[in-house]
Amino acid sequence: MVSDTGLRQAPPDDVVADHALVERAAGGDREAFAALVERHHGRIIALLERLCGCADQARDLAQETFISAFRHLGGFRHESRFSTWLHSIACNHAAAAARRRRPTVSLDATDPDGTTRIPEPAARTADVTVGLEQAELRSRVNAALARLDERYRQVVVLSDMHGSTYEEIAETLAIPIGTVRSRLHRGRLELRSLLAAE
Amino acid sequence: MNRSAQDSPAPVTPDDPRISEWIDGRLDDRAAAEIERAVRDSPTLARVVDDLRALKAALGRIDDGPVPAGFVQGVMDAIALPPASDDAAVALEWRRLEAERIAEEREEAHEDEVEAVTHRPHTRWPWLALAGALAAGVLVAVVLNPPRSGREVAVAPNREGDALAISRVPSPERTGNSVPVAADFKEQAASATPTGPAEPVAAAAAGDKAPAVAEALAAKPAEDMPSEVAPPAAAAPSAPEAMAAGLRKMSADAGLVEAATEEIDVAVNGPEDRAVLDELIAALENDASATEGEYEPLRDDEKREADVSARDTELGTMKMKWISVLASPEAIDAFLAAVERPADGRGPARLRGVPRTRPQLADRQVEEAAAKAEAKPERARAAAREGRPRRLVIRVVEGDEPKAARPSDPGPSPGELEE
Repeated sequence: MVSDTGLRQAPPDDVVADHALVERAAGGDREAFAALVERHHGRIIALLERLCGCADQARDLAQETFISAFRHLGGFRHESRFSTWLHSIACNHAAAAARRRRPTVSLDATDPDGTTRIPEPAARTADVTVGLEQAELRSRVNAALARLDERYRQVVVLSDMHGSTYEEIAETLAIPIGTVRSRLHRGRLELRSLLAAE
Repeated sequence: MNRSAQDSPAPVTPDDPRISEWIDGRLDDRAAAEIERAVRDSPTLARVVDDLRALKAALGRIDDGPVPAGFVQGVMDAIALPPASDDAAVALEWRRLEAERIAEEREEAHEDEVEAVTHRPHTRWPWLALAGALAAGVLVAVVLNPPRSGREVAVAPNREGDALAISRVPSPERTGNSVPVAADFKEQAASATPTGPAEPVAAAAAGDKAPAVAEALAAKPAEDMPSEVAPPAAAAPSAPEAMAAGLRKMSADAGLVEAATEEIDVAVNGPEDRAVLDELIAALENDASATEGEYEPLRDDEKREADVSARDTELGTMKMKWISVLASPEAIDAFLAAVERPADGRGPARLRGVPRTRPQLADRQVEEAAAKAEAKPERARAAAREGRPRRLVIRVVEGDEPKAARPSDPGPSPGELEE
């Protein structure tokens, strides 16, 4: 894909190319940083849109993400992929935006009677996504994602929509891999229930 | 952990995370066979698996959508703006942190008033107060929305007092790993000259759409500071109360329980420490929880599931994370024993648990409560005897600059400082 600056989008896992560009950008080469933005902004905007559910806000947060990355580029030590580091910054920005929007105590996982809610679909849902067109699917999924607890949403989006491995998610979100396992499964169950309940 | 080596594997239920691992092809042969057998034998499990597979496939089919035109240029325009002056940046960070600290102190002070008014049997929520203070801090941070300068600011905990120490860190693109100069943040703040709020940030504080990054960055940081938090004495008086009221209602609705609260700082120096700390926190999260560390708000005094929330913030090249863990007394004791190693920090884990402003807060709570009402310490002690959960607030401080900024702190060797 050719972008508005004429550069060709590279695969996000092109670690070697990222490494070289990061080195140049950290040395003050702004064109190198522009190339990094060019390579990754599509995925970052998509990630943020899924995390925050709003295209306009996703664009703003993506811009903040890249500005943060630029400001902290000197501290990036290539211990992880640049894309993972970028995802981590984006998730932090999305989480901060979510905290600004709502209280910090989440009661999503509890029922009014005080019991822990076990996700269970209201009806048979094996065909819950069958026949959906892309736009409708995107709309429904985004709506369901918006209602999902943020902790679960992050993991589900990174895993099932961005193809991150459990290890990459653990690194991105700075959580133990066991937490990734449990959050991913719980998130999928919750999302299944939310889609089935529509 | 090799789950396949377990002698008597746990029964597979729909909320077993191994189901998703199996779907994702991450289980070893033995564990996969166990899940496969369970799914074959249970129509309920089979339905769950079918649904999750369909869901995963559907999520994977959603493309990224169109990329907005001009985005790259917008980013490059934003970063091309001149950075704020160093003094102003320092002042902004100081004011933000000071506002957070004030909000926290006010929230704690207000907590007693709330308790006196409500007369509820479980109205002392130290952890809720902390959450409120943090939320208020976030609120204040939104108001301030400080832009970053080319030179960054690192903040370190002050072990002796209730303030924070701050140091300037040379711009990374020019200096790499140079040692920052230590300075007391109040001195630096005193040299700054912040004034009133700027329109973009004021608009954000009012709940409007966030200003464009370029616009926010273009505003002089000294003018971004809302007047209500400029000097500590003039900090917003109503935010903590409003937050406390909201939290009171939520906690009452949820039937949340009280829990003794302790606070510690944990310094993390590098990936090894982080990995060890992750394991220790994971152990806390998994304490007495059949769902492997998923965190539910406690519903009654007896439940011992873990409730974890975290707040990350990035300050210069240093990262701080607040983790609030609600777990059994035994699990918290084990955690404290693991992190409170000798101050030289030379253990295999190289973790240092540093008592924060209020060391042994749980004990102090008992003492303070004793001065107010005899029933309270009795209740706290009874809670401890009965094994009620305790709340541990762990402030994880990650990064090298604070150690160098406060050379009197124990831990870093000269070699580490040079590094």
